[in-house]
Amino acid sequence: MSDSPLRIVSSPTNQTEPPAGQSQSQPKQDEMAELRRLLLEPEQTQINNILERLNNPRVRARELSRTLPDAIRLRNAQDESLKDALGPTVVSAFHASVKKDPHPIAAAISPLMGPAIRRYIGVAISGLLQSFDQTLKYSLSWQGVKWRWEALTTGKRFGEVVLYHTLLYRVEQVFLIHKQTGLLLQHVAAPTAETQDADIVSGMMTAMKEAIGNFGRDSFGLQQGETIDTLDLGSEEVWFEAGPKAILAALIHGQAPQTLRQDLLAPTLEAIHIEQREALEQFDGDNSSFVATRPHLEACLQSRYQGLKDPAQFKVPVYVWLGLFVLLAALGTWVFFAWRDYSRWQAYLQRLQSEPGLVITETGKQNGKRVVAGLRDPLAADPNEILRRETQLDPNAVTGQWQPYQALEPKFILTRAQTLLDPPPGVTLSLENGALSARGTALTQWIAEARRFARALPGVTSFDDQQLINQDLQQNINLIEQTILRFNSGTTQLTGGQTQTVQSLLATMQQLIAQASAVQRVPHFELIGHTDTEGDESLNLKLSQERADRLLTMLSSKGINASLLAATGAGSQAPVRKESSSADKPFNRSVSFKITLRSLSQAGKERQ
Amino acid sequence: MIQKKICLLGAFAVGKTSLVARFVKSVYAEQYVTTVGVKVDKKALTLGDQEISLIIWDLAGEDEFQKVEMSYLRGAAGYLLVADGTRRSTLETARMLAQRVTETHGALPFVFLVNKSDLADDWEIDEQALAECTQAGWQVIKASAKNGTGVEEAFKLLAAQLCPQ
Repeated sequence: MSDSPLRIVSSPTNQTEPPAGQSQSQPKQDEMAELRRLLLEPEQTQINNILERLNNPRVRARELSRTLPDAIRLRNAQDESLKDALGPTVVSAFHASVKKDPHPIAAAISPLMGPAIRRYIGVAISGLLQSFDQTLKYSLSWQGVKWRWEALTTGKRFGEVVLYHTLLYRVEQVFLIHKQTGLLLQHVAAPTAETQDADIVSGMMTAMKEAIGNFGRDSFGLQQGETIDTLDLGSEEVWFEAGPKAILAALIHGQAPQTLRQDLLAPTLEAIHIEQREALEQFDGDNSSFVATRPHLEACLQSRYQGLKDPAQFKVPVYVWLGLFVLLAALGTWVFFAWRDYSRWQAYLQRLQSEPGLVITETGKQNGKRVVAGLRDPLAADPNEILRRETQLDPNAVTGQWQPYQALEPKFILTRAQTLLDPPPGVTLSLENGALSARGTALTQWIAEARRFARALPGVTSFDDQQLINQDLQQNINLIEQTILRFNSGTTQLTGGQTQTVQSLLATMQQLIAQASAVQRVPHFELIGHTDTEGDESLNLKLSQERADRLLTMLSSKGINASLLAATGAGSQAPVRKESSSADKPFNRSVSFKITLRSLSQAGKERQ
Repeated sequence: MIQKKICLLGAFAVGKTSLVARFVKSVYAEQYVTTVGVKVDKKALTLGDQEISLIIWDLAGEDEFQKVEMSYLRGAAGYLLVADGTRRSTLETARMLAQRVTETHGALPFVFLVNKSDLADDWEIDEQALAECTQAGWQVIKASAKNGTGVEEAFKLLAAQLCPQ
């Protein structure tokens, strides 16, 4: 360090020393140093001390700590600038402390907050109860009207005005004071009373009592032993009741009757003297044992109001009862109508909920109207219609907000199928477990369309057309089954003039096969050979079979798939026409047709 | 908590009320307000592990027209005898008061506080006079209500005698 004490002392030496011959100049140098030491030592020591104080932060802090309190006092006495300077720091430190850990601050202020809160609540509840009692009585009288006016003009609460006018007296605080020392043994206060530090008040009252006693003795010749028992403080009085060891001081607001002293204060003090005799005699400043006297003292916190001596005498006027009755009746009527309206509304909502195709998602009130919102299938019943027809609610007081949707109830699925598929007369639709069935007779085109669209309908899982009769198909089946191809007697030769019939038959069969295929069916043609009743039956049977076989071969050769054909001989046993005369016989020398429609799978199995 | 009543005695305007204000509230007011009768105040102290609450009776000062009423000292555990260092006569008043207390209430513990040490240059009570007091067995403390010097020390010294550990 450039300003060290060593440097200051040694710098002249460095300047005067020759650069060479150091060994010779050594004694001289020592002498100079000794001389310097002798001449400058006290100042040097002082400089060292001052520098030490300046340079050592701990020393500076110690010195500052000695003068800081006085410095603060001095500055505070001069002006307010120290408070201004420290204010923000203290506030931010307070904030930081609370933010970091609020508990120490809370612990520090809780002794203040607790009593303050208790006191506030006590005052609020007590004030409420007192003013309620009084207000009930006086708000219904002429006097009450006057007091209400007073409250209005003075800005006070009506309850306060009533209490002010009706309060006879109230014992607000009671002090139990040690007679010898004037120290406070115990203190109680009414919840609404304003209290100061009871220890100080106790001392002041004792001093005042002493002073007035002295004054009385000096000025008016009051006898020794005679004491002051009342201090009049204007609207309040302090009553002293003195015993051998303790004094009871009661702070009373208003005018209390003298009987209070004889009937309450004196017996209380006596009881305390009896119970606390030892503690009173040995009192040495520790008042903890006098907590036990609190119940006695609290019993002295009495108050009296006008007109509340006998609450039984107070009767509520008839018009109050009448007013109360009218009020109750109005309330009852209102409740009844509100309840009836509510019941009707609930019944309407239940009715809507039970209606298929309506789903309620929200109910409530909007601008004084009841609102019901939800989903409605266009096929469902109209909620407004239900409202008008089935309820007694005012339609103008109800708003319905409905969004369209498709309901999946069977009723709606069927109705939608009915609308979309538009079945021809003779076809009926039915639905069971999602399976749509059609029954009746319809054209091929309708059946094909129905089959395609039915599956696209919401809620339909399958389409059953087993019971559906194809009208075109049936016509062709009938046409073929009515056809008879006749044969010459005893042969398998077709009689002449049937070429047109065969051509027509072939065309019809081809058409039938195509139509059946369109509805996933396969026609099965059974060719049944017949004979007349002439000749031996066994031969007839053979002939009939041969006729059928012959036609099968022919049809097959003309392009009809042989697998769709079957030939049987019926002989004369299954005549096409009953042989009543010989004119009927040619009809039985023939082949007739029997057609069955089979499903694709069935036909496939049979082919195998 | 133990409570003890103590009194402040001394001639008028020696600074008794200021000493109490300094001790209890740590404040000092320049203007002088004379005490009429008694003013009672309170201060809690911790001596070692014992808490003590001092109920301080600040009695009106004694002058040629008004005597200190000794009955105020009834029940007091001790007292602070106060003089003004800048007025020699207050020492005499203090001596007289101490004697009257002893006569009326016996030998109560007390501490002799010579106030206004901040005005040391103007003092009339010299060291010799104070030495005489010490020789008489008095506990003497120089103090200043204005800057706080010695005030708490004097109260604590008295309190320590009221409840010996």
